[in-house]
Amino acid sequence: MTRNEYLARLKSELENRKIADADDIVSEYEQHFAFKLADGYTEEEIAAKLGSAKSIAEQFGEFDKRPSGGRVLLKIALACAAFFEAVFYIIFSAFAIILGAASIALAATGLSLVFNFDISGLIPEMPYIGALLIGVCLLGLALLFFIAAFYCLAQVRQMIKASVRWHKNMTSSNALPPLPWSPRFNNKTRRGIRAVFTWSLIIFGVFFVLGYCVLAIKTGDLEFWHALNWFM
Amino acid sequence: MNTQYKKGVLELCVLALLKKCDRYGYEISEYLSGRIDIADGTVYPILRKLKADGLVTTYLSEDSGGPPRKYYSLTQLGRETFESDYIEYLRFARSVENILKENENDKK
Repeated sequence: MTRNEYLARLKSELENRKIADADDIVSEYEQHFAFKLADGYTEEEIAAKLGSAKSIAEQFGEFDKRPSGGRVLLKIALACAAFFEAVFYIIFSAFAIILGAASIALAATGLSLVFNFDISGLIPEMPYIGALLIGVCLLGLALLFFIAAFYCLAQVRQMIKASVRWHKNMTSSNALPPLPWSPRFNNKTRRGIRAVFTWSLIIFGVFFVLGYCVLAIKTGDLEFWHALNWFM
Repeated sequence: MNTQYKKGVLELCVLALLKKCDRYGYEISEYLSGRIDIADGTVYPILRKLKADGLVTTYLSEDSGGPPRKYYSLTQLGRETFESDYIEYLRFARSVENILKENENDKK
């Protein structure tokens, strides 16, 4: 019997017995043929050594009689899990988008302070040197928020990928290796993120303290926002 | 010898093989059919049964270059089952051997 004849017969014998994953089983025998052919056996020899397709299908049939109830239950459980996962990922993505929006708002405010733009009176009055320092401090904070938004988006993206892989593995008989749940950056990106994070944290901290000190000294009041009548 | 009888023992052999390292189906089939007189095709149903029983899991690996190979790996349950069945089998085999030998001697 040739390879194709053998595999076709095996497939029909399996299907006659309503054995699950017939294709998957046949592919395993296909691989067996491939390995044996590479070792120099003929198709006929290999087929003869395998044993009759009928007896093999019978052997698969011996234990494949589990009730299908378990599978249905598994599908329902997975669907429920998928629903909660989807809700979580939507909220997580929204959070990342909010962080991004906050970053843009902070950057806009910082730039307005640094370049002394007062768009429709939104920027409170203060001496320019204070505005410059606070502006730079806000730009540092904007960068921090940007990094946080970037990282959250990468995290949620990786989690979605990992959970799609997990769902596939739960229902298929051919498990692929599970994916990591946290994002993997290459070394260059990782170093970049760390450097930007450190520098923006330093800029934020240093300029916050400087800005506060300068404004407190200029106005002679530790609570300078009262001296400048910001909340009147 | 009747295959039905061999099957339980073959399951134990597969667990023993997988105890050391993960292997793909063809490797296991070659190893066993080289040592025990069985049809090559018998090993795959055994692997599938062990998987259905939760004693082994499978994963695909593309490490070897060519098409992805399906590797079999022992689960915790598989490990525990092997440890207990292994001792039980050896004890059983020894008893069978003793019975066979004793009765052989009686005949003479």
